[in-house]
Amino acid sequence: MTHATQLHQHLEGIPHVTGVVVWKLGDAPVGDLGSGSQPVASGLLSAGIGSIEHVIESIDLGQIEELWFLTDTVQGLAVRVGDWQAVLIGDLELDIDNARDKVTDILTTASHAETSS
Amino acid sequence: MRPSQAASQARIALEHGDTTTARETTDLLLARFKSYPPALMVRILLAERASENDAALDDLKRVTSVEPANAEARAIQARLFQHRGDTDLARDAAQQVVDLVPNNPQILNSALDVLKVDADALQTTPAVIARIHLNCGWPELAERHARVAAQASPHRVDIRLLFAEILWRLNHLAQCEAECRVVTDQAEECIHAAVMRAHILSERGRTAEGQELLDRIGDIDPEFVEARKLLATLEVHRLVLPDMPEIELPENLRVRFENGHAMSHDRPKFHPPVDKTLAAPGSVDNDMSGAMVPSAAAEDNLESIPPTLDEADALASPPTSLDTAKSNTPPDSEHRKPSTTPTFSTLDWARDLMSRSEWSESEIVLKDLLEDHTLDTEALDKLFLEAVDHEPLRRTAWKLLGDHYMRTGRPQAATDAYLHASNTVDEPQL
Repeated sequence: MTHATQLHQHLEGIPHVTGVVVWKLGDAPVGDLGSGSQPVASGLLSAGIGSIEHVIESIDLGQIEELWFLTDTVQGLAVRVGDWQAVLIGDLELDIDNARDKVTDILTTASHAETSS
Repeated sequence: MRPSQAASQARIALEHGDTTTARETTDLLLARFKSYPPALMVRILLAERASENDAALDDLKRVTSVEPANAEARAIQARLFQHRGDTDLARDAAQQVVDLVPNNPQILNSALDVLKVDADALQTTPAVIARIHLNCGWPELAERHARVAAQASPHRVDIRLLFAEILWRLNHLAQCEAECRVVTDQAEECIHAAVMRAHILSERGRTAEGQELLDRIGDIDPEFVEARKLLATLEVHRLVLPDMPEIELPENLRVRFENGHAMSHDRPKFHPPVDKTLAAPGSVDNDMSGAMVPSAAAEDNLESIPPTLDEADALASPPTSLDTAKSNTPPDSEHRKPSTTPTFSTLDWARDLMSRSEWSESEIVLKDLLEDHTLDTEALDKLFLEAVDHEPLRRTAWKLLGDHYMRTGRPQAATDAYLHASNTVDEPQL
């Protein structure tokens, strides 16, 4: 059985990642977005991304698998694999391609583990 | 003066704080037309203002029997139920307001206040889509959604009436008649259903019966507003709309109306909600029009017994009050059975802790409840929404509610809840 906390630990290890939120569909998000953020920030961000997903699905544009955003201070990456979703926040040095591959790998492994168990 | 003008004047008087004029006019109207919805609405607002909630709720039952699609009445019901602690009923009534797609933002906001969500967090239901399509004049598109909605919620008389109107506009008269019977089983004095039935009777060559039924509507809706609205959508029909009656006002009332409530300008404006939880962001009192939902779809979920769709049964159902032209008492089934779940005692425990202001314990129990995946979703919705009313728990409760919404696949609602939590964080803590 994969736990969100285990995934959280793995994802936190990616270089330049400063915050991670991970959750399985039907569970509450786990994690934080780094020091200084509000306690509800992780939930708010994941819920916001979930809302975007709903919007995209409701207008028949399919299901989002990845989202990337860039602000003046951070980069954000949201990845969905099966029932698992993760949102990473990293600094501007974060190699987003590399991070995406790693996150996808980690979530795919978790998803397969769920399926086989 | 026309009854509607008198009711309108009473409403204005009430808004200006002139309760005497409002009451006298209302009494006058109701003495002649005892179920006249605009007059009843004024009396309801008067009762609400005087904190006579039971009287207001009694009148609201009458109004919603006559006009199940009266969003304002539903909004007031929601407020009153919430005021007396019937959270389930309050939320049901508020949800009906939302499903009625009211044009008046104050009414919608009143319902959203009870539901504790923002408009953009609302889910679009088949009933809403059907109503919007019908309002746009697309009954063909509306039908499929209304059918889905009726199958999902067979006890919702508003949805059944919406479906009936769609069938009527599509000229599926036999099905419409069956649906109308179902509606009148629950909302005996429903004007909208009666008008459609009168038209159907006339189309079947029973014009005299149809006309008689239409005439009797005049006891409730003396100006035949609903009938005019519905029949105006037809190219031709055989029914004759009776002349509109006038009412004689006593001299003192007439003078006051003619003076335009000149004396009332310095009186306080009418603000019916009595506390924050009841207070709509904008009170619904300014909207009285029965035409806020242009289509005639009806709104009333008073009964819990799913009616049959079988047309033969429906046609064989006993006559309604409008059929018999007798006064009636709206069905006394406002209260639904409380929903119970196997974990009710745990929820009750949390409520008990909150009532005793044991906030730390309450927080622990609420967190535990969130982890319990066996709990009824709606029951948890309700509990967390109750918890956010407690200042010391507010931030945590909003956060937990957000987690709960995420768990149950409602990210938009979760966003709203998290934002509330976030805003609470930003405020100075008491």
